[in-house]
Order: sequence, then C-alpha cells, then structure tokens
Amino acid sequence: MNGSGANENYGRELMQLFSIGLWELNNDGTQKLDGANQPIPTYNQQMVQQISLALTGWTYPGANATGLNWENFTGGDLQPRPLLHDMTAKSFLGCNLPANQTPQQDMDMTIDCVFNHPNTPAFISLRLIRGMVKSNPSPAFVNRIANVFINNGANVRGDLKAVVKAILLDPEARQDAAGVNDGRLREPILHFTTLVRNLNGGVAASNSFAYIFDNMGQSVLNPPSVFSWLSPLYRVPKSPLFGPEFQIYTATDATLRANFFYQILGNSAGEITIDLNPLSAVAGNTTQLMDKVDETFLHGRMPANVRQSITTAVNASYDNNQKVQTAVYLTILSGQYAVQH
Amino acid sequence: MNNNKTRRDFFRRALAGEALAKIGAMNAYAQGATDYKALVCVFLLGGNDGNNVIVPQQQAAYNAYKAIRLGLALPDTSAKLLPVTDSASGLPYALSDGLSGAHPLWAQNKLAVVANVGMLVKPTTRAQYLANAVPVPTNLFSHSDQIGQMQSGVPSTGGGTGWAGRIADQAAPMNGAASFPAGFSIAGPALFTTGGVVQSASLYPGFDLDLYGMNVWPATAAAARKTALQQLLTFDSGMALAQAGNKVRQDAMALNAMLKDSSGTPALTTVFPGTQIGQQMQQVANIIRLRNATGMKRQVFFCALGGFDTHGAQGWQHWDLMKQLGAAMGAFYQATTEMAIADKVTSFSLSEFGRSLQPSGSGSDHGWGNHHVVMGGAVQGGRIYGAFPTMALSGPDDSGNRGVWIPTTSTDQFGATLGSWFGLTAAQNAAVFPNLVNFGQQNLGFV
Repeated sequence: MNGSGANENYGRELMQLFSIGLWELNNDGTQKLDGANQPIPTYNQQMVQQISLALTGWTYPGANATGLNWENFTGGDLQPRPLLHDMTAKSFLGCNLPANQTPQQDMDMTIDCVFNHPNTPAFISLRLIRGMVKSNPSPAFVNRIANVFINNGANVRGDLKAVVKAILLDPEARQDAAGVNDGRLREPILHFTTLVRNLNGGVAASNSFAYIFDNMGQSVLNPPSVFSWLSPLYRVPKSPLFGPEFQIYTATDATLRANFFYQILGNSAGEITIDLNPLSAVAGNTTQLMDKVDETFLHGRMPANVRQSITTAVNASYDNNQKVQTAVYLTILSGQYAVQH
Repeated sequence: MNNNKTRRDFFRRALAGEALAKIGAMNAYAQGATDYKALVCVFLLGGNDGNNVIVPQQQAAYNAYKAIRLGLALPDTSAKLLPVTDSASGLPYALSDGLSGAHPLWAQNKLAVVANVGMLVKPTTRAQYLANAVPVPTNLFSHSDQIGQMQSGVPSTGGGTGWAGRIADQAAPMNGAASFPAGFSIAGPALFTTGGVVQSASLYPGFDLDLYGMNVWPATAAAARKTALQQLLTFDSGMALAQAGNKVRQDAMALNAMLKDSSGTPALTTVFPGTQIGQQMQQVANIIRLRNATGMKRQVFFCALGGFDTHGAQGWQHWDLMKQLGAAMGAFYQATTEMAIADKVTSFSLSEFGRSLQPSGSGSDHGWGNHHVVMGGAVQGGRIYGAFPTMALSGPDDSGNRGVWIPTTSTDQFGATLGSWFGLTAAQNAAVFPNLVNFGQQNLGFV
C-alpha cells in the first residue's frame, strides 16, 4: 500500500481523545510550556502517519475470512489481515516498532506506547474528575489522582478501580460546603436520573424518551461523533471556568429540561413512576414541606433566600397537591440543583 | 512637487487608515459591532442533485447533459426550466422551476449559484485523483461522513465543531456583552453551528420556550411561581457554576418573553409556507426580528430539509423539494426586506454531496462536488461563481466515468467568503478553515 495513505482517523483519535491529548501536560494536568512560554504539542502530523501505519491491517468480523468485511459493529472484535498491514518500522511518541511485525504485535506496542506516555495519567484523571466530581479541580487534586494512576500502591499502573475510588474519596470531592469553583453541571441524562432517584422512582426499561434527550442535545448511547455530545474543554461562556456540560445547556435546553421534569412531576410523562407521598404527607405545613424538599433534593443546604422565595409561592398555591408541585418544581429548576456539588 | 504631494497623501492615508482600523478593531472588541449580520444555512439532507438545480442551456452543453442524464434530464413531466443568464460569462443557464419562489431574485442580482463546491484537502485534478497523487477527504460518497465533513469543514471524521460555529467563535467579540446564543439550529442540535466558545441553541418552529409549569390555575398561583423563580435565579449562592446555570435559565425566560411579546418588535407580516422548511425559516426570521432586543450583532443559523436521497422517485420528488426550498427562501428574503435588513442576511444551501450526472436506474448515485445557491441583499447575484463542470463522462471534471464531479471550489473557499463578509480577517478565516491555506483564491467575491 501507499505508505502515506493509511487512514489517519483512529490513530489521531487514539492520541487526541483517548490517551494523551494535544498538549504536553504536567502530572497535575496543567500544560507544560517551552522556553517561549508556549504549550508544547504532543505529536505532529508525521507521528499521526506513523501511528496510523501501525494500526493498518484490521477489518470487521464477517463472512470473508481473509479479505475485507463491511461495517459490523456487533459481531465481535476486529480481525487482523496481515496482507493489508504495513510491514515497515514505525516511530512515534518516542516509541520504536520494528519492521515485519504482525498487526497484533504493532497494535500491542502502540497501545503500550500511549498507555505509558507521561501525559496519560493526568489526561485520564482530569477527564474522570470532570465527569464525576467537578469541572474545575485544583492541580493538586489532579496530581493526587494521576499518582494513583501511575501506581495504585501495589506497583500497578492504570488501575482504574483504584483511580475512581481515589477520585470519589478525595477531600476535594467531599467538602460539605461548596466552594466558589466547585461542582459540575448535570448533563441531561444525569439530571434526569438524579431527579427520578431523589423521588424513589423508576423508569420503564423500554421507554420512548430517546427523542426528548435528542432534543436536549444528548442522544443517549448515540453521540453524534467520536467527539461525543460535548467537549471536556468547553468553558462557561464569557467565563474562565471550565463547564463542559454548558455546551449543551442553552436557553432552549434549560426550558426543555424544565418541561420534561414538570411532566414527570405531574405523572404526565408516563413510563416513569415517582413517589411524592413523603412530601404530600407534610404538605399541610409549609415549614415541614420545605424541610423535606430541601433534604430530598439539596442535602439540606438550600440557601435561605431561595427557601424564602419558594415558600412564598408554596403559600400562594391552591391546595396541598399544588403546594408539593410548586415546592419541587421551583427547587429542581434552581442552579443549586442543576449543578452537582 | 507632484511626487511630494503623492507621497504626503500616501502617508496621510496610510496612517489614518491604519489608525482607524486599529480603533475599529478595539471598538469591535470593547463594544461589539454596530451593524447586524446573519448567516443562514439550509442543509439539503440526502445529497441534493445539483445537476438538476441549474442546467446549462448553451446548445452543446445542454445536448451533452441530455445525452448523459437520459430520463433524469430536465425538463421532465414535473419540472420545467426557468431561464437565467450567467452575467459573468453571458452564457444561458436554467433553474429548475421548482425554484420559482426564488427565481425572480436572480434578475435582481440577489441570487447566485456557486458551481461545483465540495470538500477538498487541496486543489485536485482528475489526473491527480486517479493517480492517488494528492490527499482527498476520507470516506467520500458516504452520507454520514460527508454530512459531518460539510458541516465541520474538516475533510476527515475529525472535528467536534462546525464551521459556522467557529465563525461565530471568531465573531464573538462583535457581540459585545450580549449573551444570547450566537448559533441557532432550527432543525435539532447541529454540528454546523456548534462552536468551541459560543453556545449553539436549538429552537424548534412554534416552540417559544414556554415553561409548562407556569400554566396552572389559579392565576395567582401561577404568578407566584413565576415571581419566585425569577427571584431565586438572581440569588448568588457563592457557586460560580450554579450562577452560570441560573443565568441560562434567566436568558431563557427573557427570550421567551421576547418571542411572546411583539409590542416592541412588531410581528412579521410576511406569509411563510406551511412546509417544515418554511416554518424553520420563519423561526429564523423571528429570531432576527429580536436582534435589537437581544443586542446580538452576529448570528449563524442552521435549517435542514430532508428527502434528497430520492432513489427511484427522483422526478417528482426532486421538483417538490425544490418547490419547498424555493418558496421558503423566497418568503425568507421578503421577510428580510420587511425588516429592512436584506443586505445583512446571507442565506445559502449546503448538502453532503452532489449526484452522478449519469443516472443509476431511475435515480442517481452519490457524488462529490455540487452546486449551491446563495441569496441575500449583499450577494453579487445574477451569476455563477466557480467553474461549471464540463458535461462529459470521463471528462476533465469527472472523478471516474459516471459524471461524479471533483470539486473545483472547496467548501473552505465557499465558507471563507461568507466569513469575510461576516467580518472575519484572513487570519480568522484561516483559523476556521484548516485547509484554506491550500487554496489560492480565498474570497470568491459572491458576497
């Protein structure tokens, strides 16, 4: 095959999105800078071509046991085709793959190469922290987690179970009072599941909500591209803070979420069961109702001014049923609930 | 003396020009632009058969077209031909009469065609393509890949942003402090308007961001809910992201009020077609109508019309789709004249790819380069831009032997021309379109 012609998509994605990223990182996730104070690219186009050559010689599982098969995403692992594999030596990211290796040998060495790259611990740790705890972790937090990635305590690198445990148990993940830069905006699916869990609810296994999530920018299990629904590098508009989930939280998305939640509360969405009884039981007493709502949705941390505003609206409601609806609806539309913290 | 005067004038003009340019740039960053501009894309999903959007009428070319297109050649039992003249070459062409709603704009020089546009890595000849001598976009002729590429402007599957979103990113300073979305898709979340910095919102026709929860009885309870929500969104809880989330919801409520209340900005009287694309373009017009209330100065929009993968039913179906497109675009242009901003709004078609000139059964096969229409008061219309392909199988523009055109104008050049009109510098266009640098002419001059 023509050596410059290998499809570069996966080689590029493997580096850019799944392992090391575009810029050289310190172990705390901050960018390394060169002598001119500029960030340092992790790879260049020549390396993209080299890693792509290392990844040649694979096809889908299918009827043809020796040649190419058409796209098949459910039939099992990709299969090697040595005749379609580039046999030259490759060199990228400081790794050297000798000539005349099989597709599997080149693949294994490629994965080992990116796995052992100095960027990988910080790159993976930062993304996991953003996805689970907060959008703007301190460099010290990232550094602690990256160190667990490097060594889980038993000299194992890349023990993701240990990494996740360390993230969730880190002091920065377990502060009782949220700091100014804490939290992460819930994306549509987690905002929804949080609400249903808070109300001891459940969702029918086969439900028809896919289109609602499509409209809210998160086509569940079906992202529009390998770049997913949102970029982990997206910043809150007109702010220096990272807020990846804000990329799919526009005026329209916020309204669609509110309307979906309101349908759920009124049981008009169907296919969802929720239990409002613990709230209805105390609806005759606004103080008790607000205590229960605060405990249910905000861990008892509802700000006093928010509570006062909602209380006024609850007292203006027509009956106990409407009082519950008003208290819950307004609480779950607040920024305190939209942002996990 | 004469030399001195010339030299003095030159320096005076140069200094004044440079100073003005700098002040203008500073103002643009500090206070936003003073005028409004919008880019409006209509994406024709399924691969529009551009060969039947505009048809050469010079006898030799038309004869070749008919001889190759066979049963697909226009006119057919559905579509007639509406004559136009390419004022650049003086040559006769014709539009499908499905576009009758937009056809009058050609004579008014408000409608142009850009011929044979498509994704390229760098300029590519037939000989180069056949010899595999230059890199070309990945997965050509694949619907999903090319829908992504035409929207991302990246000739591979790479890219989580769209080129209109990146244009809006570059233009963000022109929007000053205004905080409404710079990108809107009226056809569901779209890559095209997704930026790396600005937000892209989707807004569906007829959905004015009403909050269902505010529609309760009695009215006093509804009013109390609304008051409480408006209050609690303003409280500073000491968490920046919660504040940012509250800001989004405040913006939503404000935009809802603007969309519902036309007292400050009268509703448009232009009648739009009841088709999906007609309703989408009406929604775009409604958002543009609010520009003074929102304070936005630069916005990009995405609409989509599906059904162009016509398979066997091409004749009537393509004409019907052209009819929907032409009527919607005609109404939209009229709405911009009603708002007196026709020269501030530029609309254009895109599609994932063109179609083979040679039929495939009673339809046509997936192609590559395609003809696109551009419409607006600022458009230098009444002519064809780019190079119209030679109507010949295995001819100079054919990538094979079926009349699948190798683009002679790249999507980068097409988009960068729109970007320049939008106010982007050459450097900003280069940042938006990664392969623009490979093409000599970076502004096609159609707007």
